[in-house]
Amino acid sequence: MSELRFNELRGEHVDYAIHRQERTFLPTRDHCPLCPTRPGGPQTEIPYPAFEIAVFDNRFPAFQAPHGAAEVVVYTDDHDASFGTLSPERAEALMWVWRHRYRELGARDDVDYVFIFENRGVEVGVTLHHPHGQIYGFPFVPPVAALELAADARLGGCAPCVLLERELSEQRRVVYENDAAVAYVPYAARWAYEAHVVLREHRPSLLDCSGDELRLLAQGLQALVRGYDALFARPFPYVMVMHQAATGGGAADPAGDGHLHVEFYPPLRTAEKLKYLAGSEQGGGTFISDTLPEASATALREAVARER
Amino acid sequence: MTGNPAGADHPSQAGACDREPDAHREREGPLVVDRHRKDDGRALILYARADGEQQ
Repeated sequence: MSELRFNELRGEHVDYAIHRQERTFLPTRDHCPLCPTRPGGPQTEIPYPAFEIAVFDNRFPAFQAPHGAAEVVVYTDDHDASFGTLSPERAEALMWVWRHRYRELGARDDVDYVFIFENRGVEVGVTLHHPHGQIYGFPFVPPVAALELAADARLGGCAPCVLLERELSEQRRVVYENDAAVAYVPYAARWAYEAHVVLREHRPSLLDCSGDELRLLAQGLQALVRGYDALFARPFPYVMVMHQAATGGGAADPAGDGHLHVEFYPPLRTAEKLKYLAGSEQGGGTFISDTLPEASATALREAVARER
Repeated sequence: MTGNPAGADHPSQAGACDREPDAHREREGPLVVDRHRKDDGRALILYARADGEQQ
C-alpha cells in the first residue's frame, strides 16, 4: 500500500510506493509480461493468445482503492509496435478505451483526477518496451492540473482556448492540423520538442467528444508521434500526458472544467543529447532551453509532413 | 468460450483468469468490453472492435 505525504514547503503531495522498487525491469522479450500468453509459453498479464487492447490493474500500483487507482493499458499484442505504428482503427479504438476508463474511474469517490499517460523510451524511465500506457486515478487534483485552472483565471477564460487561438493566428509554431485537432510547439515550451495536441472545440473531457473528434484526435496524435520518430530517424522518447476536467476534489473550473488536450515532453534536445533537469529547473522552477520553439516547430512540422 | 474480443480462439487457462460471472456484453462506442478477474483479484478488461479490425 502506498503512503501519501504532503510536502508543506512545496505545497504538493509525494506518493511513497515502496513496493514498486521490485517491479519488472526491462525483461527479455521472451518474458514480456504484456505480451499475450502463447501456448507453451510463460504466463503473462493477459492469459489469452491474442487480444486487441487490454487494461488491467497495475501489479505494482502507485495508487489503489480506496485511495485512487493505477491501471496499465496495453495498446496491442504486437510487442514490436508503437503508438505511432498502430493502425488508424486501433488508435481510434484506444481513444474509446481511454474514454471508458475516464468515465468509470472518474465516477469513483476516491478518484479526483483521471490521469492518462504514456512513458516511451528508457530515457524517460520505461521498464517495459511493449507498447502501453498507464492511467492513474489520483485521489487529489495534481498540481499541474491546478496550475491550468489558475491559468484560466489569469487569462479570463479557458486557457487552452485562448492559447490555441493565438497559435492559430501566428501559425509559426503549428506543426499539424486537422478538422478537430491542432498540434503546436507552445510559445514558452519547456522542452526542446514539447508539443501540445489541442481540440479546436472546447471539450472538457473525452466524454464530451463526438466520434469524429475521437477519430481525428487519434489521427493528430499519431501524426505527431510519427513526426517525432522521423525527426532524428530514431524512436523518439517522450512522456505523453492527457489533461482533462477533474472528476472530483471541488476543483470546479469557471471556464468549464478544463479543455481536453495532450502534452508531449520529449527529453531529446538533439539526436543524441538529452535535456536534464538540473539546478535551475529543479531548485528554481525555471527551465533553461537552448532551442527556440519556432525553430523546433519548423523542424517538427517538416518531419510530420514527411510522414503523412 | 464467450467473450472473444480479439476474434481469436481464447481457451480459458485454468486458474489464470476468470470471466466476470455476471458480466454482460458492454459496449463503449464501437468497442465490445469484456471484463475478467485475474487469479489475484485484479481486474482485466479486454476491448475489441465489434465490427472486427484490419491491422
